[in-house]
Amino acid sequence: MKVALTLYGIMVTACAYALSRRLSRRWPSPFTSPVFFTTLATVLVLSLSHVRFSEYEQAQKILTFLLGPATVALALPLYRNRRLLIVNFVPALAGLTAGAVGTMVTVVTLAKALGFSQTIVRSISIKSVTAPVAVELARIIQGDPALTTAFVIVTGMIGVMLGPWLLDRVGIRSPLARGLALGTISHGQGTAQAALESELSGAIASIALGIAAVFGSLLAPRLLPYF
Amino acid sequence: MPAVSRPVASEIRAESPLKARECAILIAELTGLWAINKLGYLIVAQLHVSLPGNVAGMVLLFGLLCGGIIPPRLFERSSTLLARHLPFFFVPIAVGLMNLGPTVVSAGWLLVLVLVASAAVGLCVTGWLAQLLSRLRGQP
Repeated sequence: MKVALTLYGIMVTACAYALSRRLSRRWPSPFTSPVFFTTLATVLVLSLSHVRFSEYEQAQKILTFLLGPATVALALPLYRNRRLLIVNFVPALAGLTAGAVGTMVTVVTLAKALGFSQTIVRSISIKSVTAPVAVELARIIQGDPALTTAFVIVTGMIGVMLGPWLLDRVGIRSPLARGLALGTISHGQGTAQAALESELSGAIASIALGIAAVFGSLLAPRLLPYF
Repeated sequence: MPAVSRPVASEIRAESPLKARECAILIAELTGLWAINKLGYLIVAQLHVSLPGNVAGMVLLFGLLCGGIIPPRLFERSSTLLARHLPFFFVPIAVGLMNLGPTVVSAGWLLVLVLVASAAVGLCVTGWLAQLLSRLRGQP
């Protein structure tokens, strides 16, 4: 029975993912993107078939086995684009640092001011860190990994839907600055969006995503005790 | 008879060892990445730093690549595959949302507003500072 439930959980997740890949190719939108659609569809199907989360946990363990190796592999785009980073070292690192600190302080201050629980404040603080790192980081800073992942996914969608429009409005036209902003704040989804704008934007965004993940990992445990 | 080329037995035989070889390389690459990941967790545990082990693994691999100890083509296949399907590996964690209490769900819109505001601040600060500094250096 337990094995059957685990297989069912894996099957539902895999089917939802396969379906989302097809949907996002036919109707590209943040709402058909694999991260959003697969999560929603899996939660809905499991809930409707009366599967409790505790019964899904084994499937979750199996499916996320490659998350660690996938994070390690993020070093490769970082290495491939290292020249771009060296050439633009000061503007890139200064922009990234200011943005990562700025967004973390803003989100924690707002969540705290609105009276959200400590778990939510901790979980939301790392919403701009790429999901595979944020999940691990959530455990270190005593946040909730599922909540954190949801905040990370929504932040990615916000960057895709709002980012290019906002950057236009405030007069940020340099491809370097746009890519850096999208990668720093909206990680993977932002990087995909930046790659649509230009090759340079995409490359700098993939660098920003990696460095922002390292930076966020160092910053969050040290900043949170002050809130 | 239409000239539909059906795979001849010899072609199939020629293809399958190639596929098997690709698979073996992929598994070897993934094992390598897995080992670096484990090493990252080990290092973090030994040094007692509050850093996720997979981040330590990523920094470690970056160092090995920069030092020329590991050539980047060694992880070419696996890194492309993992990057393409990255969402698949963390979505199951987000499924844990089904465990959430109604308080979080009812506050959902407020939390989205908080996320929008903080993302806007971050995007503007990052973009503005990077653009300003690269203009000062005379770059577009």
